[in-house]
Amino acid sequence: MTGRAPGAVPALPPGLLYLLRRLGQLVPTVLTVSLLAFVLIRLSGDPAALLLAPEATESERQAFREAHGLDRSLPVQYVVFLGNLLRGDLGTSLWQHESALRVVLSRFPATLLLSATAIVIVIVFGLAVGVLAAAFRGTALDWFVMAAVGLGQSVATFWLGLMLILAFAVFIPLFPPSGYGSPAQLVLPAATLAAYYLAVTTRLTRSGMLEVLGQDFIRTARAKGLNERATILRHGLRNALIPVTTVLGLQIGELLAGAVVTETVFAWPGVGTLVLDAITRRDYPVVQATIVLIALVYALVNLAVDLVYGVLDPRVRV
Amino acid sequence: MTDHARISRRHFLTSTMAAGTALAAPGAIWAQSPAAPRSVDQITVLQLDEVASLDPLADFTNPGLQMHAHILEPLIDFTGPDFKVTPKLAMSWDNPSPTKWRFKLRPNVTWHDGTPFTAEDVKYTFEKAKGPTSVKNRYLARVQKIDILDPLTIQVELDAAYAPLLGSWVYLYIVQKKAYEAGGTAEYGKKPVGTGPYRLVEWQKQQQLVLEAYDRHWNGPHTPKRIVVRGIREAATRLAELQTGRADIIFGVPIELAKTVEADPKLKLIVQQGVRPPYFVFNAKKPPFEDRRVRQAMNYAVDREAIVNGILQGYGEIRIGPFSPTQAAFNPAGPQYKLDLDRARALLKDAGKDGGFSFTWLLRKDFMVKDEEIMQALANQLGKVGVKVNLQFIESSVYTPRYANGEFDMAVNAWGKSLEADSVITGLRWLSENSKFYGNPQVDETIAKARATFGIAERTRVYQEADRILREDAVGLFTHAQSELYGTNRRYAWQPWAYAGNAGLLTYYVPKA
Repeated sequence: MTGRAPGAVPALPPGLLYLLRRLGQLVPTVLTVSLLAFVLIRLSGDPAALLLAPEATESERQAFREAHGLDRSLPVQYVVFLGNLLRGDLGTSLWQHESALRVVLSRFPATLLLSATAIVIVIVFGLAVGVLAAAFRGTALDWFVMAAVGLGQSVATFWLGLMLILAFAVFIPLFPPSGYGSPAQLVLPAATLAAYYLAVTTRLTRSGMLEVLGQDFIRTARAKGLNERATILRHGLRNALIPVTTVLGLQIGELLAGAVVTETVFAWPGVGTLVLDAITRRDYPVVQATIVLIALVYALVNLAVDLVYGVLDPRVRV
Repeated sequence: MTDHARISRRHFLTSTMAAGTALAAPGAIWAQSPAAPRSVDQITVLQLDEVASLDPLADFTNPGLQMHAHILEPLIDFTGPDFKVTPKLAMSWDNPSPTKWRFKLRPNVTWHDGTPFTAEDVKYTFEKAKGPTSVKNRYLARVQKIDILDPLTIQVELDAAYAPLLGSWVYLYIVQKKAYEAGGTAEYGKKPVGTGPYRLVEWQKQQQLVLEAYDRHWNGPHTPKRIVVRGIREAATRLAELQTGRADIIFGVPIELAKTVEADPKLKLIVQQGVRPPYFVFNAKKPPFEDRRVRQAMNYAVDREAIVNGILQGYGEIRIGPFSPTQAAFNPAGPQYKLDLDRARALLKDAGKDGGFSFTWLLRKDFMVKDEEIMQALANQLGKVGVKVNLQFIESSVYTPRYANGEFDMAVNAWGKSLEADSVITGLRWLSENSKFYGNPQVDETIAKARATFGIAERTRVYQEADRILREDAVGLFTHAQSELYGTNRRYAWQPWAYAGNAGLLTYYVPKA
């Protein structure tokens, strides 16, 4: 605790202060990302060349650029962009002619549903299977799990998605091949998206558990007569969870990127398909809005992960 | 720079899928369709991509055009493989003078909101379409004056005689003045009010767009009652939807999967000839292609059969000029390019190039089916006459300005939509006035003559003359036109007219006389 000078503003509780400081750190992150997004997409080509007919004349293209403010210099465009950003205005989609922010936000629920389902699958099955494999180390079960993990980590998401469609929509028609709306339509894309991260989490949980289970305090727990289940779950898993949480936190960001491929294969109406469309159509405002929002989500996820550490490990509690 | 041995990841995956799907064919017999049986009241169409906007002045891409063609109507339309101009919202038209076009509009046409269609709507559309942000402003560039003579007669005045006007106006869909004025492109792009045979009932972005037959259409109602449209980028996913009976028409069947569709007794493969093939253009304003003999030699050095029958497995046709032999402007008496290495070598020798030469071939990414394979094949073929090719694939947004400015030795054309001969030749930048890489006073004169020739048969002969000159001049390396492959099921007998898909004029309903 720091001492407080008389008359100073009452100090905020350290936990809240930490949270505010961390939230403040998001600002430069998002600004840097927005600058990168802004510059990179403008270096990648002229929207007038794509949106207008290929035989359009140079004067037609110039008129189009003027109408969309693309004729001004890049620094001027960026200042305008920042000014609008502060007011929550991320521009107007060149194709859909409505607020880019609204376009992106309208696609967020689908991506969140898909990612959240995948994350639940990863956490529930990853931890359960990882713990089981560690508990039954060297048995057939362990071998089987490790083989599946190897496969899950090495298969391309794109290919896995197509194979799942062939297997469970065409050969054995259990699920629809694509689309959005019913729970049945969620199964294949969520499984596809989860596969890689499930494999990673299972392997990490297994190795973490094996390491922890060999330590003295576990022997102590067993020696004092604690039953095996409580030993593994209460003393083992809790300690093994810390590295798993770190990796999971990093993966959630990656998972959002993986959603682009999965959404495309399954025609899932999320941010992934949106951003791919926007990139091919050079719809700058939508690409920028997506990148800024994704950066924000990524940063918030990282913050959440840091807060979870505090729960799991009292030593890092602030 | 390209790597000869490279097989793209995408190609590998498509091939694996092809093998997998082929295995699925016997399985499909026991795996009965999980979808509930539906009547042909409703069909589901899977397009290649999501529709961007339903505003015809903002979206000129095929997924959008195919929707505009259902919801909206132009004054005149093309129907059938001979590209015959047929009346739609205009009943008839004439030319009071060579620069004036007078259209008699169809009476008793109503908009989907029940209000009558009048010349006001047409005038408003033309004025909007001429504006700087309209994607169709080039079609109205010549229009000087638009007059409403009476509620069902409209007259446009051009700056000069332009006989082929109607050919490019098939894409000029008429919007409702009232709704467009009220909502602008943003609202109209989401909820258009049209006069077309179908009206929009629902559009959930990236999910589905639902059309319903408009009962009060002047030529309606049409069948089926409802058309559901989805955009799916992944070809294998589209095919899975078709195989499971959840889709009736799918676009873009890859060549690797064509046999799977043909082998399935429930499915049918529709092969449509392509009318807008890739044309490889030469930069005729600088060496080595400023010499016409070099350009001709290239046309004799390539093996078109190997591309069409080998790489494309027959799903394409050979092209030796800008027009297909089935198009009216094709001149049967023009040069017939075919593989003739001796002749190619002789022409190169005449041009002083018998020692060979090398050049860079500028290409857009994904500009045609099997682009990498075909380009490699062409490069190998040209190598036999001592021509060394350096292939350079770049993004199309970077490509277009370089192409327009003539910053290349050889490139691939960027197609506009129009199929009418004047637009083809102008659009490909083969007129001196709009080209940085070709110019021939003979071509310019011929096109000027065609623009003042109002009789169709006569004008066609003028275009045939232009075709002959362009082919003799070897303005491009003409190789092939890829076919468009569609999959349908046998439940709904869909048979579009040849070329419609490639022309961006596809409709999904049962056509009426």
